[in-house]
Amino acid sequence: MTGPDPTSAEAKALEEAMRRLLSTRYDALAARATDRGWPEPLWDSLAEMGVPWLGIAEERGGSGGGVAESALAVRVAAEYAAPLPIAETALLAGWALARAGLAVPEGAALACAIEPLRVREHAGELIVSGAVRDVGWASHCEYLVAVCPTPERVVLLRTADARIEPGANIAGEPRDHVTFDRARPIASAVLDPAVPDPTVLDPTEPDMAEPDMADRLLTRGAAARSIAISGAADRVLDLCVEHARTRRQFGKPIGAFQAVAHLLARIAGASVAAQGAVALAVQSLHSDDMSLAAAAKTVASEAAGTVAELAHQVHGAIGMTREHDLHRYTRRLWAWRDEYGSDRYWARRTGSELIDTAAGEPWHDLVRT
Amino acid sequence: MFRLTVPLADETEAERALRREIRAFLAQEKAADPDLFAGSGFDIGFSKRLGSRGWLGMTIPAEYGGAGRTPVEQFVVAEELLAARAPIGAHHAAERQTAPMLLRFGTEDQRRRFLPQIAAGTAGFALGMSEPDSGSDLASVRTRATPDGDGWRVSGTKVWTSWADRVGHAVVLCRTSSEETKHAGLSQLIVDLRAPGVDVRPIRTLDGTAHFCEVILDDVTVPGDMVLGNIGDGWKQIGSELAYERGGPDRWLSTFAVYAALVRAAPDLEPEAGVAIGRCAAWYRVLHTLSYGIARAVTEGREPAVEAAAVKDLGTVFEQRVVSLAREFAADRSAEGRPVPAELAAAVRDFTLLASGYTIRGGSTEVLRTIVSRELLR
Repeated sequence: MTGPDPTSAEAKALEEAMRRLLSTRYDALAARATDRGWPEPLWDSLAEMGVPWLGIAEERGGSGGGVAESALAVRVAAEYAAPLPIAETALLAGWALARAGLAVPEGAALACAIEPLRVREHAGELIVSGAVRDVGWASHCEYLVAVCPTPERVVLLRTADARIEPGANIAGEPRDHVTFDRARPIASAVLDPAVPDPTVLDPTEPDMAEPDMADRLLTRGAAARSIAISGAADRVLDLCVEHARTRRQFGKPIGAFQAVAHLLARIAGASVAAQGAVALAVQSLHSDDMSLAAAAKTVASEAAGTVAELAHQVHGAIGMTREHDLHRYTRRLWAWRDEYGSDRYWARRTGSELIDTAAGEPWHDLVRT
Repeated sequence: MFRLTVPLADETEAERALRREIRAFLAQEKAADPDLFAGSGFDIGFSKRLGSRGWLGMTIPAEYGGAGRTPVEQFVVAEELLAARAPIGAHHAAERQTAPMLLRFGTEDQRRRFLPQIAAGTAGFALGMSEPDSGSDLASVRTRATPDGDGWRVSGTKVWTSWADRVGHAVVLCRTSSEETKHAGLSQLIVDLRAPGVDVRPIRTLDGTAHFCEVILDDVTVPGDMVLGNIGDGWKQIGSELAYERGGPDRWLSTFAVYAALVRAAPDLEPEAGVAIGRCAAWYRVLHTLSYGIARAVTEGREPAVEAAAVKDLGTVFEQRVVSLAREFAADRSAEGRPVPAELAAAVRDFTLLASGYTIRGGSTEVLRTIVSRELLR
């Protein structure tokens, strides 16, 4: 069982609790959040539920649960456009710490650098330097997790020790440029390839050469954004259906016009495609199979573009304003489709891999036994 | 608010083992006769060999000659056959449409007579649905059956009836009463295509082949025990089966041969071909997952009709996209005066002529979008 299991009682309870929280006063709070804003009370409530550290073992400072729970949390948060680093904390930075045998700092939001930083040893101490662009939420997080070569290690750094140049994606979510100049990590551990990843249930390539953490983080980021895209796409579908029912022109609801109704059907189709991508994304988080995350992000990113484009067509002029809720989701779809690799990026990687390994029956490379 | 939810799950080890078995069988078949996988798509010998291994009509219970396996297992086999472009024409319609219909609505005699033959690959069926004036608006069919003693006399014209010139029977949708509303007076009859008064004429399609047929029924006698289900329930019966028809792998694998040719030609093509291959690969993986989820839902006794319509829409549009992506790389080579790899050239040519049909057959894109949007706006 590697998909999000809708029948698991824990998952259901988590989903309901998150929805109760996000659909009431916090939705208004998140909606009012200005670009680059940080809705502290919402973070506090989710933190109280343990949501940002789902999927990280309790002995590592996490909330327990598995990939299915953290994926579900990311999806539900995206359905409400909650502007918080749930995926970054649970699926990227927190996972990397736990993978290296390090503990997650209690109650902390974590930023994660994908590109490796440089490290050197001086008088028995590690000294980390380097610049990373577009780090999610770095200016709001006390800590940042990064990887350094060689030997590959995971380091936990204080963002107070960095120079941070604030930035944002087109959804207004913080994407900051972070520079460390001779910073001392507060924790670090060399990755031991002999120690299996406890979160990987079904490693597809047990003999895999040295794990490239940077690439694995990028892959996990792609899986996380695929899941988030599905959540936002489903919300956009709801907004479109609502608009098509209530907006009247020519004396009837615009949904009564077949041209508009068929736009809704195409949006629903793209949202179904994104749901299929979620299944692959969750499987990739479980099995560490990059090809599944690549497929998920390719299709989810394409679907994100379709959903956003058609949703604006359905909404007409009101959808172009910040008065209407639509922009909270469509701007995220546009941002997320490019983060951690666009559809084209992952298609290119997948394609070159498939061409290299092609051995007669291309179908067998797609559906493996 | 309404949400399309496709249940998703992983393949079990037993399902993976089945996949390995069928792959080994197909490799053998291909080695013995490669033309079988690039020909007309109709081969009774191949259907019989599948049947003898228990891979045909897999969901038919053992008491009717089937293997008594699940829709998911049948899905696995169907995927493998379609991806390999195996010749399934002799049994496909009977397996996908007729067998479930007989199981659900057929009389005990009909089941005992036809189901073992379907599972063995010895009896094919044609689907007598569309007419010259009834396409998307299927309930407007005018083929008429009038009572005659214990049986019926049928007259009318059916079109786009695949392989009617090669199989023994057709399930014909016809009007048995015009007194009720449009949808109420319809029934399904099993018509012997060799009976007097049946005239089958091939219809040549864009690619020059003729697996479609026109079936003209001129006062054909149909015995009373060949009514499928209840008189007057034809529309309801068809509706229940169309749901299963739409979410299957035949709705997104039709142009797989083009993708396979593109992958094999890629080392000779410009690097941009890798992006096209990667996009297709991603969609194949996602559609496989969605389609598997629908088969699983059917196995669990649900009827995911609207989801199936959405997946058919996605899948058939994708099938056409595969051809248009591959076409560009073939065309580039030829513009540069370099030879186009033969397999790619042939696949692009053949499927350019076929692909337009994929968004029409089994419910046009427009019909599907109407089904989905009605559910959304309900």
